[in-house]
Amino acid sequence: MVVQEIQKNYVFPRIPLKFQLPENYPEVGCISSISVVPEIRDFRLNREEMEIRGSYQVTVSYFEALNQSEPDKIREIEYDDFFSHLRLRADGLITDSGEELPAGTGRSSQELNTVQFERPFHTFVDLEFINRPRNFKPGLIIERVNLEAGEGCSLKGELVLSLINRPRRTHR
Amino acid sequence: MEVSQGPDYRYYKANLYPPVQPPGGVLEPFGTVEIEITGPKGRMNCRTHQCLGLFAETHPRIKYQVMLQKEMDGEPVVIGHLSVDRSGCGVLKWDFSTAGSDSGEGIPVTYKLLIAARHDAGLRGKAGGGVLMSGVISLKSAVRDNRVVGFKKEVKVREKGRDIKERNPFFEKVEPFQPPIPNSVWWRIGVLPDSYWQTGFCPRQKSNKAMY
Repeated sequence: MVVQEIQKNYVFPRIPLKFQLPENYPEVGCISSISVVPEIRDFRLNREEMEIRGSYQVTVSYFEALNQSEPDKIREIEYDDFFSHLRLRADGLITDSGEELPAGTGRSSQELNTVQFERPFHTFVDLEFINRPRNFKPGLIIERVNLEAGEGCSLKGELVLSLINRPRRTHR
Repeated sequence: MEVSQGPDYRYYKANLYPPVQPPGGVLEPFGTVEIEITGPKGRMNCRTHQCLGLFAETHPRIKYQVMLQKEMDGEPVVIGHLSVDRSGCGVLKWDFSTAGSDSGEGIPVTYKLLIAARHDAGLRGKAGGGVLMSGVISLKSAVRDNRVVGFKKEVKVREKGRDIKERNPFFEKVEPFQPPIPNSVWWRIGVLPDSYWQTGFCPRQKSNKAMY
């Protein structure tokens, strides 16, 4: 089964995203994943336009920013050395360290921090851009999301939503 | 007008990072995974960045597996292989279903997505073996592959003589080439009819013997 091809009707202008992390959250190092759930609360149709009210929920998971100075020094020595896999033991003997590099996003020891934001929206769409408004059940899909770490404890980015028609099924 | 009884559409985007941070450099994503889940159906689009040059001509033989690992320590399941698109990025599209796996308790299921070179596939039990990049994503419900595995539908060839050939003892099926050529059927005439050896009337030929 393939996901039902959805006819795209109308792409909204981009929404600038600006989120401030709540207190006691660490600074953003790199963003692991973003999840967006748009939801239409209610909509109204009249002759010229459609009024849509709803919200979108953005969930961001990120890794904490590292203090760059110290780990880099250690890494440099480790990886530039040809015998990097040999470790000098305390008694002066050299042993082959069988341990492998940790898998993960380079920071498996770190925790994934997750923050959730919810923003309401309220827009009007010209009916010219929508075909078949008779049998219209509006739905929102995500066209594009970008999110980056801003200055301090903030997140910056943009979100592009698009309006689609998702009519109800006549049969089960 | 009341529209929604909860959202049935979700969008996820995860960055894929290399397993080891380059010394002195900033960790930048090597690729992205986009997941769209509409009701029980979902689609995953995986894309690596062009600058990696995974499909450069220097190592054209290497295949890159995309693997999904549940709960950070389950066995990784191979979803598919990256293919090249026009711009030289590695691309994979995967359709899945989440039907019947929604726990209803709102507990997210954490998945780890790994991209590994294929010749290192044996190392996947070990941590970090051959993994080029990985990403973590937590979905609302568990993911199930909806590709049909058991059936292999073949294209039916409507040949007139084919049925007869299969029943005919004079024709036996052979596979002259090793390894066999796909989509080809080879026949050998097993027992030759008598008329095969009888030469026709030829005035120049002295004897009427068969020539071997």
